[in-house]
Amino acid sequence: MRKIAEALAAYIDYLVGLGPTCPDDQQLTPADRAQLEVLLSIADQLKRVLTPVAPRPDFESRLRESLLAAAVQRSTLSGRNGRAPGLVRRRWVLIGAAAGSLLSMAGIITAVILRQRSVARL
Amino acid sequence: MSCDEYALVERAKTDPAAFGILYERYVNKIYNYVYYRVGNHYDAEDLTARTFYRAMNHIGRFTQRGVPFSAWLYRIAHNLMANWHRDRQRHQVVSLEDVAAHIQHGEEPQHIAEDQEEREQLLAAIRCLPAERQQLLILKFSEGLSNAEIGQIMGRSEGAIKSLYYRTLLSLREMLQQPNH
Repeated sequence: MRKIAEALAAYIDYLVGLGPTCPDDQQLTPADRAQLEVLLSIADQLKRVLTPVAPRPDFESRLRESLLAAAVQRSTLSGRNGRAPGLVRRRWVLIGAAAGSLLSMAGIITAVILRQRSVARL
Repeated sequence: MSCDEYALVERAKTDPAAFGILYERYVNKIYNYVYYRVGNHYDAEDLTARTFYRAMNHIGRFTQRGVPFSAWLYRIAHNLMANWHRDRQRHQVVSLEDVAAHIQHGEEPQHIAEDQEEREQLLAAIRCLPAERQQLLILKFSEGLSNAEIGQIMGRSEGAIKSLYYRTLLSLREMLQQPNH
C-alpha cells in the first residue's frame, strides 16, 4: 500500500508541475500496478476538472478598496484615541493579571503568618 | 515563509498598504479554494471577503512559529466555511454550469460535450467526500501546492498527506463505480 501511495503522490506532483518526471512503477507487483493505473486515471481526471477559478475583477478591486478603507479608518481611530494595538493591550492585561495574582498570594501568605502568630501567642 | 514575506506580514500589522500587497498575493488562491468548497460565486465572494476582513482584524496576533502566512489564511477560510456549512445544515451543491463556464472557456465545442458527463460525475463524487479530503484535492489539483505546504495548512506530515491522496482516490474510485454516480 505504501509503495502505491508513494508512486501515486509522485505522479500527482508530476501532474501539477512539481515533480520532474513521471515516476517509475517497475518495483510494484502486477496487481499493485493495475490498482495504481486506475488511481492515476482518476488523478488525471481531477487535474482536468479542478482548474483554477478566478474571482470577478470588479469584486476583487471593490474588496481591495473596502479593506484598505477599513484598515486606514482603524489605524486613524486607534491613533486618535491613543489606544495601543491589540498585542500591546493584551500584554498589559496579562501583566495586570499577574500582578493581581501576586498580590492575592501575598495576602494569603500574610493572613496565614498572622494566624500562626496569634495561635502561638495563645 | 520567506524573509520577504515575513517582513511584509510584520509591516502589514500597522501598514494598510502592506496588507494590500498580501491581499493581491492571495486573493485568487483563497477565492479559488472557497469557490470549490461552496460551489457558487455569490457565497465564494462573501466568504473570501470575510476571510480577508478577519485576517486584517487579527493579523496583530499572527506569529510565525514555522507556519506560513498562507497557511494561516487558508485556516481562516476553512473555519469560516465550516461555520457556513454548519449554519446551513447542508452541503451546497456545486453549480456545474458555473464551473463549466469557467473551465470550458476557450475549449473546442465538441470537447465540451464529451467532457461534461465526466466532470459532473467527478464533481458530484468530490462533493460527497469529507471536508478534509475535499480540501486536500482543491489545494493540490487546483492550487498546485506542495505536499509540505498542504501539510502545514492541514496540520499533518508530508507522509500523512501522501497516504491521504491514496485513501481519497480509492474512495473516489469506489464512488465512481457505483451506479448512481
